[in-house]
Amino acid sequence: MTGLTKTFGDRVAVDDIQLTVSAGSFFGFVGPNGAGKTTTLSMVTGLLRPDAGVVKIYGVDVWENAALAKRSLGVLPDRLRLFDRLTGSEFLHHAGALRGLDRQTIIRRVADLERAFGIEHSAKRLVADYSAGMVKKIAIAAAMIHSPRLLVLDEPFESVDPVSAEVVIDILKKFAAAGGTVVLSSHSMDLIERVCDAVAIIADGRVLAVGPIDDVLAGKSLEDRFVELAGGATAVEGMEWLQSFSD
Amino acid sequence: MVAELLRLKARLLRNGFRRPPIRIIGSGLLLVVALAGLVVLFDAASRVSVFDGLIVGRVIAVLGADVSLGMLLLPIMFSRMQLLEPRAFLGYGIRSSALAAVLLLTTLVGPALLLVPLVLVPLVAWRAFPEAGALPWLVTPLLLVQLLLLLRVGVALGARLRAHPAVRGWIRLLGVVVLLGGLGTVIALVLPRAVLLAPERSLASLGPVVQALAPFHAEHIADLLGGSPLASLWGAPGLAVAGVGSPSAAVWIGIVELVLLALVWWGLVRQSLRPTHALHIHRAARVPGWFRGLPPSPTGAVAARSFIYWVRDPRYRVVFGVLPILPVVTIAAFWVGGVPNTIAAMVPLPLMVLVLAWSTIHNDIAYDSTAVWSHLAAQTRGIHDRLGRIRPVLAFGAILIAIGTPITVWAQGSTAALPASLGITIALLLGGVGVGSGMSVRHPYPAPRPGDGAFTYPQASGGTGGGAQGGSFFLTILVAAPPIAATTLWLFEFPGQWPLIALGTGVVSGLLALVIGIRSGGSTFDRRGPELLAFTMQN
Repeated sequence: MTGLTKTFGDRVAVDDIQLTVSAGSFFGFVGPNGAGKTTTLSMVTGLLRPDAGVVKIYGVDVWENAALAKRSLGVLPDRLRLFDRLTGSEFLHHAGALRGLDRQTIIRRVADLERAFGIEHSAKRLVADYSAGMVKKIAIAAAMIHSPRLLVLDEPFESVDPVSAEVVIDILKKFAAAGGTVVLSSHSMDLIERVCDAVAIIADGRVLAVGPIDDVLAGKSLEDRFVELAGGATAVEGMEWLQSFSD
Repeated sequence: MVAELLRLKARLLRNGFRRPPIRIIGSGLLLVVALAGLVVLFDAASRVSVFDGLIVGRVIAVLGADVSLGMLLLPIMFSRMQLLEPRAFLGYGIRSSALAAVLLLTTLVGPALLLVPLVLVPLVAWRAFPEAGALPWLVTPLLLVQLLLLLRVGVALGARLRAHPAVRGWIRLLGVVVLLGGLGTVIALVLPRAVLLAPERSLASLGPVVQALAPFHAEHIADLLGGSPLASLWGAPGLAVAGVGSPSAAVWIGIVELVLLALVWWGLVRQSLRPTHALHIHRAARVPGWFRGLPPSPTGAVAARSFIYWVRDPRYRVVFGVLPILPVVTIAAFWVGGVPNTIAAMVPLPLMVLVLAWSTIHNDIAYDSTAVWSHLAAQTRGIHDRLGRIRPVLAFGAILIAIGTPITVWAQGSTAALPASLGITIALLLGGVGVGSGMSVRHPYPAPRPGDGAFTYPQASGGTGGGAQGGSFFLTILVAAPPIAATTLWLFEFPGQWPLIALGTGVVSGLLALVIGIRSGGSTFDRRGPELLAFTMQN
């Protein structure tokens, strides 16, 4: 992506971001709250029209040739509602059919995904009755059903239990090893540090650091590096009243 | 085992009283009411000698059939679990026949004990009629067994219905109608005689009620009910007293019925004692519901999803609730206004079609806010989205027209109403869908969220959509204007082939609106996808 910019009113949410994610990598996107992660990813996936800039997926411009670009793209947006009046398996069938898969493929893949994500036994319940973690899982499953080359996952592991997260990470790692690309955002530094091979740190709509994870880290932990770059430690001063207790 | 189970039942019954005091008081009150009812029944039974044997027989047969039916229906309507569920004895190796018999006996330890005095009521009544002979003594024990069997079967079926609340809802409605119908029949039977026999015309004020009930021919209904298998044991002594029919045949019918009931009860117990087997069905290999019947294409997926929402989402379902009210209101209004039948009959169906076609689709983008991002992420073409969404409306509309048109023609009284009505309704359906498909993409306005009630309005910034509502409504009627005009000319008896013209213009203008609406809506959707998503995220 080059020169990606988006303003809301007079606030610049994403300011001229340049990034290249190489194919087959497991790319992490970290930043403090309100850094522009979700905005950037929305523009990358064609959900939010950028004010300026170009996004290319495998050489195809997302905003010029959307149909072709989105065929190789699977999306998990953050905070968007699913069709929660459908049951789990109806939701996956819907996603498959929307992507134009044929019936046999849909049946096979839905069965596989339900097994892999451990939602077989809830497949007949309404998505509205799922827990937050289950909703994430089924949304990730729906993003994968058309076997895209690139998966863009916004906060995929928020409120997912560690066991399921591990299963999903395993699936994603195999996907990346087979040549697929994963871009995920998270504010869990540990997770990003553990699973990603490249990382970008963004704050205030700007990229602070980007590159292979070892280069960015420079020997420190991602958390320290993140705080150092994003300058988050300043807020602690001026809160002395919290140390003098009221009783 | 018999003693054990009876003790167990008694213990269960006693533990049933370990509840909040208010509940116990409630149960106590119910018991008092039941006992008082029994006292009233015994009192009434001891005074029946003022009536003739025929009417006493009828009343006992109808009341008895009502009681028997109630024993079966009330538990089906209300019971959620059975005390001493037969399946609980699966592990003890008790023979199913023995268990069925003992469980039947344990039923008597509990509220069902009140059935014993209840079956004695006719016995008291028949004392006034020596012609009955020993027959009342013969049928009384049989009746008790019959009631117990009906009760057990009812409870077992009721517990099974727990998984099907919709079926139970229908049975409840039907049960209330049937049981109240039986009581009504009894009142209609007794009242005329009571008014005649009452001292000094003290009941004369009931005269009009008696006259009003006369056309219902309660006697015929009573004889019909008395001839039914459920009433045969109750009615047998009455037949003997009145000297009509064959009492012995009635008793035999009752006995056969008892045997059949016992077999049903035994079968239910046997079935619950059967061990379960693992089902060899590949759960995941199935295509769920609506997705099976529709092609696995983007349009099919959108259509299947829309159908499911029409069925499951209260925002859509409210339309189905409104539809039946419309004809009632309009007919009533026209009747009050003195509009002739030939004109009034033409109005309700088009109105219903208009409401159905216009109700949600003119704002479906906002209604299905959840859809937009997934369609955008999959780059679903706008036209596929539009074509999918209109399927349920077209399907329900077609059903409505198919049912409503014959009724309209019948009520209007002229076969020429057929093409006229078809023309208007088709124009309204296709027009409403077409206009809605175009408008909803251009002018969405905040709508209730999925799963909310249809009348909860969202608190959102932006317009309330009055313009879009009014505009789409007006445009829809405009599409139907040619057939409406032609039909009006026909109704006021201008010469010409107006009904056929109404059909022709209706189909043409409807199709035109549909094609234009879908094409323009589809292309706007393609162009403005991200902006629509931003809109749906705001509310």
